[in-house]
Amino acid sequence: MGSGAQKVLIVSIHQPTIQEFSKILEAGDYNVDIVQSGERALEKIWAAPPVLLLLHLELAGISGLDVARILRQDPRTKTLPIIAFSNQPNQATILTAFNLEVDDYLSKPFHPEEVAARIKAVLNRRSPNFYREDDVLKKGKIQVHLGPRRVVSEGKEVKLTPKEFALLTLLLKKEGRALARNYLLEAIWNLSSDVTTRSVDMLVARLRRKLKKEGSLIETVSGYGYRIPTE
Amino acid sequence: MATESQQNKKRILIVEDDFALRSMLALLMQSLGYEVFQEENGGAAVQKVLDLRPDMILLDVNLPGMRGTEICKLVKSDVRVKDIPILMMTGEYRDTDDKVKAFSLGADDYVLKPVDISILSARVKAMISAR
Repeated sequence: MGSGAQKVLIVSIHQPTIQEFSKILEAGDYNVDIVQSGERALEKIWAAPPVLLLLHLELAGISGLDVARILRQDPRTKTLPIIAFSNQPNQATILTAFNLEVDDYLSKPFHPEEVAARIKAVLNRRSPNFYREDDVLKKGKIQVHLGPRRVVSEGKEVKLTPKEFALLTLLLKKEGRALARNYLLEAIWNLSSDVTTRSVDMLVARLRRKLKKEGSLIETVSGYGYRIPTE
Repeated sequence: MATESQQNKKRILIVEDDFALRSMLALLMQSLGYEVFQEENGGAAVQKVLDLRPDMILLDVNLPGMRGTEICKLVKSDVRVKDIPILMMTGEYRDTDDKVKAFSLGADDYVLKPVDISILSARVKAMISAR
């Protein structure tokens, strides 16, 4: 494994499973770290988060479900990719794991190729490198280069904050669809309640100003939100 | 004009040619609070994705017009919609090689038919919230 390899943390007390997963991960050039308790897993993650957590649900002490719950409640680890697994699966445990927003669940027997493919799919979904250099959204005279996160409007580069960038890309990806303020709040601020929908209005106003003439592409949909209409 | 609560709902597109299964999935997704759209023809599915810009796609593999695997490949190669999670539903992919193939085409997840309603619901919720 390379020194710059991404770190994956396995939390399990089951040696054969640890060996199985380690082999799969090392073949994918991941750096593998192993702990055998939920407590130790949390310490490791808080000290230096891995790119992915492979979480055995049956652990002594803090259970795997508790580990997932704690991580999802912590803003620092809310989006940490988690793949749960179990040696004695039952439907209630699987459902609880998904309700805690684990990214995937593996059940026995583990097929190495399938495990590797699922790991890749989960990491791909969460990867900042999901977009290629040449992935560009275009509308009017606006170009959004998703890979390098650059915005060009009327031939000039526009400096956007991360939230402004997120708003513009979301409106473009959902072109034609009116997005409610609450939808935007959840998507951009990661909030499920309407803490302040006025934040959305202020963000839209700032984005329109920065885009100058092209800012008029963002339509206000009276009573609920915003959209960029199709031609 | 849709109400604000309708607009705020996450959209799911179900592409499935089996009327009974499609209807059951539509009811299930509605009960989970999603705004549901349906398509039975594979050939029309990609355009429907572009028109609707859904938040998730439930995609059958065996479809008339165009196979689900082709649809998946097309969606995942279009920058406008490539980040929409696709959950493939199939009665075919029982071999590991085929499961791996589904992921290599860009599918985010798959379930085998007959679908387990509880597990499917949980997987959908997890995938939508991960976005």
